[in-house]
Amino acid sequence: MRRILLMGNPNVGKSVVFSRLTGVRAISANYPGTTVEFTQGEMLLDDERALLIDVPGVYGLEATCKAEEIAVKMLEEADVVVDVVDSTNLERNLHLTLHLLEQHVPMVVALNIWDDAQHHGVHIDQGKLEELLGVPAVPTVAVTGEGIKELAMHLASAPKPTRAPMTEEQRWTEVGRIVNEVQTLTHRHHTFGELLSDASVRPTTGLPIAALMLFLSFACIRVIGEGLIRLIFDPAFQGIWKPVLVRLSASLDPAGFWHELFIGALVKGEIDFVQSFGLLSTGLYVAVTMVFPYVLAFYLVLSLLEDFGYLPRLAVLLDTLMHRMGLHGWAIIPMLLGLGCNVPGIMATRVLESPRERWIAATLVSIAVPCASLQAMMWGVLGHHSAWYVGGVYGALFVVWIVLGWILNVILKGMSPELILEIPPYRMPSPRAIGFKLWTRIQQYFKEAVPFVLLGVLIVNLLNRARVFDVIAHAVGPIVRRLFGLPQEAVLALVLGFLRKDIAVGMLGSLNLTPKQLVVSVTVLAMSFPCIATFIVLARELGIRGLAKSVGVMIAGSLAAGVLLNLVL
Amino acid sequence: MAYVETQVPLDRAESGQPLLVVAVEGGRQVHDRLKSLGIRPGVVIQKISGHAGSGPVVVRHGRSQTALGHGVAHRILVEMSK
Repeated sequence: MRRILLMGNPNVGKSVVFSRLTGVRAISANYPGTTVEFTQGEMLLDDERALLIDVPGVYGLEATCKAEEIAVKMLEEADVVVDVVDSTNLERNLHLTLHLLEQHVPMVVALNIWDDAQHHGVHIDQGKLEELLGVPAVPTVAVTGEGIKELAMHLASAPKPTRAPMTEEQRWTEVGRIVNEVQTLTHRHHTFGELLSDASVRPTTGLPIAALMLFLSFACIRVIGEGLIRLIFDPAFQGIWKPVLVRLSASLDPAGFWHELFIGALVKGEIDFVQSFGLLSTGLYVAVTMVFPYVLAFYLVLSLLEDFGYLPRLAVLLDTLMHRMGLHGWAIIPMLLGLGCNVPGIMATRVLESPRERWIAATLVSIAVPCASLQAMMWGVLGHHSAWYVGGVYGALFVVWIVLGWILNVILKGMSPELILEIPPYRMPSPRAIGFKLWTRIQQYFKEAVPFVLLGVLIVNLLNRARVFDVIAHAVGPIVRRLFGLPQEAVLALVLGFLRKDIAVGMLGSLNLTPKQLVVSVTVLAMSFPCIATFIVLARELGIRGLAKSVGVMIAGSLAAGVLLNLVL
Repeated sequence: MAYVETQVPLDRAESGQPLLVVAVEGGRQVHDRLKSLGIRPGVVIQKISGHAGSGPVVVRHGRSQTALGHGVAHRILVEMSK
């Protein structure tokens, strides 16, 4: 099978072009480095199946970073290269184009984001550019699909370039010459987007904007999440699903194994979706009604922020703070993704340069960044006492995040690398791209998270029946009571947290704890062992030794935080 | 040239003025990354914002904007026109 490589600078829309050509969905966002692993899919080339590979974005082929090393290696086995270029920024993009032409692999250039270029008064003489480069250059607007057909048509007959190798300096001179010949700029006034862009990186205006953005994001997530639960999911469960379960319950022996497994214990003779703890009652209710609406709301807001292009600005504002934690501003990306699910958060630590940074960031995500499922359950269990208690858990985790980061930075040898980050222009998010991304992430939730929730409930029921919990509770219970001021039943929830945090918080919720005990136990739960999926990813990204160190910090940190909170509150 | 001989590191340069990049000091890796982004000697850039103390600097060059950590900004020597 022939191999087609999609290459280009970061954040030029390679992944969107990829989705258009293959129909396979690849996650995109308006910031450099969204694709950290290459994605591949199939497309037809000359009526033959060919492999299309979405290569992470690179600025050059000098192999100065991991992404570039991978790109250079992949280029050796390529049959055709599609060089995706940001038409609004020809000068910077053409450097890589020339470098690629020197590799003598058949090539086509996609002049992407063509609509924005026109809109911003950048006119490119397409014919002249083709002549100077010696390969076809096709204007495209990947988000709308414009020009994609023409691009695909040119692939089969892509010519092999014959440019002689140049030095870096010669290449830049050549870029200057080409840009002068093919590009004309029409002068125009600053757009509102540009004014807003400048305002959001200046400290005086940027910090209030950041505070407003964060507040709005949180408010949106809460309103959408709560709204979905109250208006759709909870009524649907109570009205449609409950009658089904009641009938099932009546047909089973109430004291028998199957009743306990599927329905759980009856509370005052009724099925209680929070406390019964059966697979089909609490298991489904937690996964679908309590957690899913928040997951949906979180990813909707995150996707909008990503595609609008706000996140790189946030990175600039937080750079100074993050430096105290041995990181730089861009490390905010793994943290924010971690608020959705720790797994993609930890994978995103690959955007960071040094192993030291990656370890600090991954450790902080797994300890101090609560995922959306956990947060949803925090609201579900603590929210009706008072929003202040929920705020208390967030506050405690935030303090842990900063203090732990600072301690790790002081203890670990080495320096934190400096921020060098391209800031893309603000772009209006395309509803189609947002829909795409949301759908992908929802699918992931149902495929990868929901089965674990149900498995968690199953295991709780089996262990409960085998009286294993009683043994554990008796063994560890006194310690937990002395250290954290929690009843010994809470131990079970903490242990279960290894499988799924949300279901563990659900267990805490059924224990009739005081708000103070809930704050302590939820915080300890959030910080202690990550769920099993996160654990596996940590091991993969950090190696066994890195994981062991991380776990050590985790145990020490959650013990300290639990004891302190118990004393302070 | 309109530039008077007043060379300063980028972190100390004034915001809003056009600045000519004179030299990039420091390791090869930083040098290469900046060059591939289009920040190299001979290019005119504009500082959009600088953060107090050891904060990052944001520059506009051509049609791009780039955020540079304080340490990097300090190693970029620019010429100001007064």
